[in-house]
Amino acid sequence: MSDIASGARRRYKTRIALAGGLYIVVLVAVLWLFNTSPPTGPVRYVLAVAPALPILGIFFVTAQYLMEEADEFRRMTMVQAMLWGLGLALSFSTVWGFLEAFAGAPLIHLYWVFPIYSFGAGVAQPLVGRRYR
Amino acid sequence: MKNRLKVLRAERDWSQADLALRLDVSRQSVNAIETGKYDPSLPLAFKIARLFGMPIEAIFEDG
Repeated sequence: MSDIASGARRRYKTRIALAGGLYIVVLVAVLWLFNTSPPTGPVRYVLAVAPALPILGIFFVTAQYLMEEADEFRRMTMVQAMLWGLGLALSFSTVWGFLEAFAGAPLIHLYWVFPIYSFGAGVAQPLVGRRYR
Repeated sequence: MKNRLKVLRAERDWSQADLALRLDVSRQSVNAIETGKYDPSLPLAFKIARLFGMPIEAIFEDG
C-alpha cells in the first residue's frame, strides 16, 4: 500500500505481533512450570502475573497507535471498533456475572474479558469501515 | 456534510488516491468525506480549502 498515512498502522501490526508472540512464549513457559514443579511463595505470584504483562503491552501498543496515527478518519473508525468491543465485553461480563450469582452458571476466569473485547473490536472493524464507504 | 470535493477533484483530473496523497491522509478518508459520511476536522477542512485555493464554505455546504 502506497498510502502516505500507513506508517503508524504498519508499526502497530508489528508491535501487536511481537506482544502476541511474547504472550504465547510466556504462557507456554508458565503453564509448563506450573504443571511440572509449581512454584511457591512470592515467585508464584510473579510468575502468575507474567502472562498478563504482554497483554498489558497490547493495550499500550493500541494507545500508542492512536497517538501515532496521523489520519483522523482511521483514528475515528478504530475508536468506534474499540467501543463495540468494549460494549460486547462489558455486556457479556455483566450478564454472565449475574448468571453466576443467581443461576449457578459456571465461573469464567476474568482473563476472558480481553479476548471477548478483541473479538468484538475485530468483528466491528470492517463493519465500521463499511458504513463510511 | 454535502461538498463539492468530487467535482473539484475531477476538474483537476485527480483520483481519490491523488487527493489523499496531497492531503497526507488515507484514500478511505477522501472517499468518506466525498460521500458526505464523514465530516473532516477543522484543520483538515482548512487544508482542503488551501489546496483548492478556495474558502471552506465554497467547498462544504452545511444544512
